Amino acid sequence: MRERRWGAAVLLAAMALLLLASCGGAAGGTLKVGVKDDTTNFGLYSTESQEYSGMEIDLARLIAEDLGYGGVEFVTVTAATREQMLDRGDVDMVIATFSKTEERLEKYDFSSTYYTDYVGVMVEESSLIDSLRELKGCRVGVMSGSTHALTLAEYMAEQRVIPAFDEDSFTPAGFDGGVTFVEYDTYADISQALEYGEVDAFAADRSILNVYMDGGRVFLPDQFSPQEYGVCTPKGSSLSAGVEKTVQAVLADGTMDELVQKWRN
Amino acid sequence: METKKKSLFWSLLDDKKQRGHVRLRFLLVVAIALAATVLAVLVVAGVRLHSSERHLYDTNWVRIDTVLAGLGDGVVEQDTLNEEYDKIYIAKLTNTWYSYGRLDEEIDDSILRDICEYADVDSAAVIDRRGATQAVWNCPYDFTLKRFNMLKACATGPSNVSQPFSIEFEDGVKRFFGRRIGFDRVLVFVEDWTDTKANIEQMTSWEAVLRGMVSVDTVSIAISLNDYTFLYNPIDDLTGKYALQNGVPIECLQETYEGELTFGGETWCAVGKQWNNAMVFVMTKADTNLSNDSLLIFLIAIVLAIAVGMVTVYGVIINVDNVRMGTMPRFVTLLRGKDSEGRKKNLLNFNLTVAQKVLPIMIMGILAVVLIGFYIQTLNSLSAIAYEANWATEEIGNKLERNTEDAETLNTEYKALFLDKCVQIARMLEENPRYIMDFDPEADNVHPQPVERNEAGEIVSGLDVYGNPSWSVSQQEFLIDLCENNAIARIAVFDEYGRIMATNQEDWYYTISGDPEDQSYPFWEILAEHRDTAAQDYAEDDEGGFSQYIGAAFHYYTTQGEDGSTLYVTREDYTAQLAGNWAGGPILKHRGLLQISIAPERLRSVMETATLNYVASHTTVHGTGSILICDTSPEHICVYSPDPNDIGRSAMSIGYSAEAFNELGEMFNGIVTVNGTEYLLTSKLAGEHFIGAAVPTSTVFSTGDSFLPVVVEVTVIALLAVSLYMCLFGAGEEQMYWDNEGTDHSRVRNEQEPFLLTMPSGKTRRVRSAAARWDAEEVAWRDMTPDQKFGAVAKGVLSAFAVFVFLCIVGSLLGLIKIEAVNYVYDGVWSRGLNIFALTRCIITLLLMLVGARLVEFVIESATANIGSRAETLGHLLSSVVRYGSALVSIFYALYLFGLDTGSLIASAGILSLIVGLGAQSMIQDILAGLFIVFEGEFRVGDIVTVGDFRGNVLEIGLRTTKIEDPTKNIKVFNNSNLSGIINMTKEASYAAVDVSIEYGESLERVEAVLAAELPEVKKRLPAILDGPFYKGVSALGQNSVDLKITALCKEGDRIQLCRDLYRAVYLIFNKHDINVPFPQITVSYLKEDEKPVPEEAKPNEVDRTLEKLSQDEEEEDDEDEVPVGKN
Repeated sequence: MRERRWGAAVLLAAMALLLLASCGGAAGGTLKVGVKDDTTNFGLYSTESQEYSGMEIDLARLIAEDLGYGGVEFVTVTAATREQMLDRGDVDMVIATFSKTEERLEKYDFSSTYYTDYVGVMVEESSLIDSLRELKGCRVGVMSGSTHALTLAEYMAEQRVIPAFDEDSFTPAGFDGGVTFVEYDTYADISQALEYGEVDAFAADRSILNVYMDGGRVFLPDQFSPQEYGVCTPKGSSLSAGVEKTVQAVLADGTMDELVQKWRN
Repeated sequence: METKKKSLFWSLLDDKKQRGHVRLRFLLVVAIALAATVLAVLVVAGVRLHSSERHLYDTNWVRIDTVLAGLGDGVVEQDTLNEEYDKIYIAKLTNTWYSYGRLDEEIDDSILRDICEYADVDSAAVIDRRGATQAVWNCPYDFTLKRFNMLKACATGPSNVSQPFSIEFEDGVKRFFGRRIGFDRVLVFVEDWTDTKANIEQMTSWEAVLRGMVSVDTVSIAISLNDYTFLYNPIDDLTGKYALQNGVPIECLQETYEGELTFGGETWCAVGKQWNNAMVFVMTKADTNLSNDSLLIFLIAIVLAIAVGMVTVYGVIINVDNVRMGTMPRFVTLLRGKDSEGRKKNLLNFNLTVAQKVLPIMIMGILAVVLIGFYIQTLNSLSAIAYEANWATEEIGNKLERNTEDAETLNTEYKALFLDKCVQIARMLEENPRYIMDFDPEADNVHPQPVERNEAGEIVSGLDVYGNPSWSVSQQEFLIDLCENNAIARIAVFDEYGRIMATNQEDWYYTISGDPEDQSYPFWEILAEHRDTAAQDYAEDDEGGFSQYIGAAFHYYTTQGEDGSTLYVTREDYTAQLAGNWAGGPILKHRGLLQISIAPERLRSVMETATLNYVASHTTVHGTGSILICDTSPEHICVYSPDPNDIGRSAMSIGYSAEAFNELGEMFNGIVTVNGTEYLLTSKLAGEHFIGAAVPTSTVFSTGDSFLPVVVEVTVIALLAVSLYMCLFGAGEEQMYWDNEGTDHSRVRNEQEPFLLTMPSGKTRRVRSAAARWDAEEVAWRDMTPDQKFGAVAKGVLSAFAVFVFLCIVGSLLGLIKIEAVNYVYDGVWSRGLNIFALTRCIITLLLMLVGARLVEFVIESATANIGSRAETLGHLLSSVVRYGSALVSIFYALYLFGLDTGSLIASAGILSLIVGLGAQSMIQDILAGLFIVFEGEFRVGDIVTVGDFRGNVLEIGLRTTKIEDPTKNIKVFNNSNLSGIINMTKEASYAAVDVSIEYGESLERVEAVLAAELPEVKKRLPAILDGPFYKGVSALGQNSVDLKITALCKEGDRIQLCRDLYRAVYLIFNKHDINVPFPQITVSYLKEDEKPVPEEAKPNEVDRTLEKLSQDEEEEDDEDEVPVGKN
């Protein structure tokens, strides 16, 4: 008789636990996060596994967990669409190598920086270019719509490789102050142009350049224009505070370092 | 209170009303004992399994370092290989520059085309330091691009050779080579590199490196950390697939990893380490060791449980029986005390009677567990090792094949490349002989060739056609330069006599041999104009080094100077002479030889991996085991051994036995002693070598050495504990013996059967009647003696165990479950002979045969049981055939397994059968007779037959004998061949016939009338009568009576009794109708009055008594004739 009572108690306890667990899940709903689907180590979508992976994906999961959501729905965003989707409310937040600029800080809430990237320059070994100085007179491939051309030109001017120029009237295509820029629509195109010799250098974020690195290529030692990636939420979003708290926590306890380590950069 | 102190199962016997509970508690005790044992074994097993898994990981941690070291080599190789290919093209550039002296001048596209053809490159260009092209051939690239700075840099830079680089264009990979060829001019060669790149990658790929570095059931895989695809994963062909989706959690991709991974539905114990941008795992199938071990543990647990269960059951049975019978056992009191009323009593007693009986069972149990444990473990270890050894020998063959293929590919490639190069150099030197022919005869490195004469005294070498001495130049500067540029180890230029004219080496004297046996013969053929080029394989040369010799025809042109000296001129001069534009003396053309030898690093290393030694030294067997290779010569010279001292010695002198070399390709397993260490050697013929895997015997049981002692301990403790428990009893039980004493026990057990038999030793044994054994009579459980009960339980348990093992084996053979050992014993290759595999196969076969035969017998018997007696007889016969047949086959098979040549055994069956035939003639007769009895149906089981004088009921018709039981229940066993003249009395209904007598003088008509009226009444009274009784007339007119015959139709079984009944009935009828039955009457006549009178009343009385006695005897005899009816 006693055993039976014990059994019943255990059974009840197990049922209660189950109930609690399912309640927690149901209450949270899903968090919609805009992420990249083409950036290795940050946000990459595999058509084979039909899953996203990368450090930003892991971060999004941590945030969702902390905020009490039951799950995360990932939505692919690109550099061109992320602001629009955030404005329209298609996503609750964007974690997509979104760097903080003053402009953006005015429009959106950003969390603390979880990752700092730099702009770097990659060249072919056979071009014998090994310093920024030799980049003078070269053609540099950049992503269209990105700020890399301007930052590179600014940095070169700063290093007195090229003469100073008027930043406001700067357009990558039209610039001819000691270095020229060629714009491409995808990073893969730039990589190919570099291979063929159509451009002499490839300027982009180091995290992206890493993907296109191979045995015959080298980075120039200079890296500049730090870009601080933050989790972006709409201005005044109810989530902002919670997100900031989580990001602070993962930075403080070393979780972010572990993620970076795990996704190797 | 007191009952509670009693041991567990004794207390229940207090309440005799609850006998049902006795059985329950009896089962409980057994169950508890079994559960405790199994639990103990499981705990040991758990520890053991854990440690074996640990062992797996530890081994892999060692392995992964080897793999990573190998990967390092692989990558170095890739660079080396790239460099070597590069060197070839750089050398082409340099040679071209040497050959085309005119390159200094203006070059047009057509010259460049010639150069491309000459140097065998796809396209070429001449560019200046800014990339402007001066000439191009098939070269559409814009060299002004910064991409080509490397090429342009050598126009002005410190190095005159550009570092080669590749560009991946849409139509393939191109590699660019450049060399300064004058002021501000760079000659560029562009070669399609797609195939070469693929080739290099293939040879140094992850697969190439990882596939070789495995042990049995172990694989290495690699995952790219850039894109998380498998760089190499042979399981399920996953190479190239996305790793995170195919069983690799992201958590695994840390610095190091240890844990389980699942691929292809199997669990692998994996350890991983990061290496550059990849994660490399070494994994071993998790269940390889574990399944073996768990099987081992499971079987031993079962055996142990059976042993403990048996002892428990036996103890309980004896105890219960003793109590029930009220037999006070002999006991020793261990503890005395007083009860609550102060009376003395024995608190704890040791039962000697029980101990005496349990002890042998206990010892047998311990022996059984230890023996079976040892046997299973040995089998397991040996089959695991044999499996590994098999794998190793096969793997060596595969590896050799693969590596040889690689080496051949490379060899061919190198041959082609360097032959090309050799021809180029020859052409270059023909055009510019001054490079080598301009020398100072006084210099240290110039030697006059020794003058040699033939038998006739004519000079054959040493002097040239002009009578000038021939020179040999060693360490020729230009040749040294050429060697460096062309990655050539050695160049030698030979004159028309096959003597060295110039070489880069110090050694200046060498003669090409014209002997077809010699290594240099192919080059002599070039001199003899049989061929233009020769390329030898990469091989060991005369000096013991490894190199590859390549030669091409080389022509030199001489003319005589004005002072009579020998002048060397160019080919152009010679062609000019032919064209008639030559002003000098006549030019002679000589056919010489340019020979180069190369010692390419990569080829050397690949060649090395293709050697037996390399493969053998890189294969591991069972941890510390090693590979031994001997050749197929009669002495079996050792070709490879980890101990270099053994190489070159004959196998026998090292310590192998001759049986290890089975020319028929059968695998050998056995123990050999080499250098004082015992090895378990598994060897097999593979191609032209005997490949053996030797595992030190000391490590054979390494995987389970901690297990067996523990099993022994557990067994001994468990059995001792159980036995002790069975032998102890307390005061309560003692009382019960007294309570039960003197009660009537005949009710408890049928003491009539079995019979008590006193053996010669004085002991009494209980035996059962033969018939009971033949009939497989069941004895009720409660009628059994303790030994019988134990026997019954033991039989049941062992049968169950046999069936279990049978199912396991069948399951394993059908592939439902996996027992490595069984599969190995059945599918593996092992030598026939007295070894454990043969023994196991033998046991398995016997078991299969036994259980199979029993099953078949059961099926036959149940199928024929209800059809009829003939079917039953046939079934019986079939069962016999199955039983004896399977036994015979098993024996032959076992002999075959143990290495006896059963072929010749069966072949000599002719002689054998003659011998056996003589001896077993009667047996064969019996068997044949048995077959005829069955098939002709002369009689069947249940028939009543008469054989000679013996009349009885057929109990059983066997293959050899027939058992007939007479009415007195004695069974006579006839050999079938002796069953002749059988009277089968059951074929039809029988007539019971009686002869009754009437007096002469009695009216026969009256008697007949009486019988006709009364006999139908008799039938009503006697149901055994089928028809009749009939009055059949007078059978005899006897001396004293008229005999009448009365018959009745009845069954044979009823006949005798019916006769008696008929006599009685007829007698009663006669009495009723005053018909006298005559009896002998003696009429005494007195011849004389005075003769002594005979007492009248005495004599008839005496006769009467005699008659009575006679009739009584007759009746008794009749009784004996009685046959029970319907006992079929």
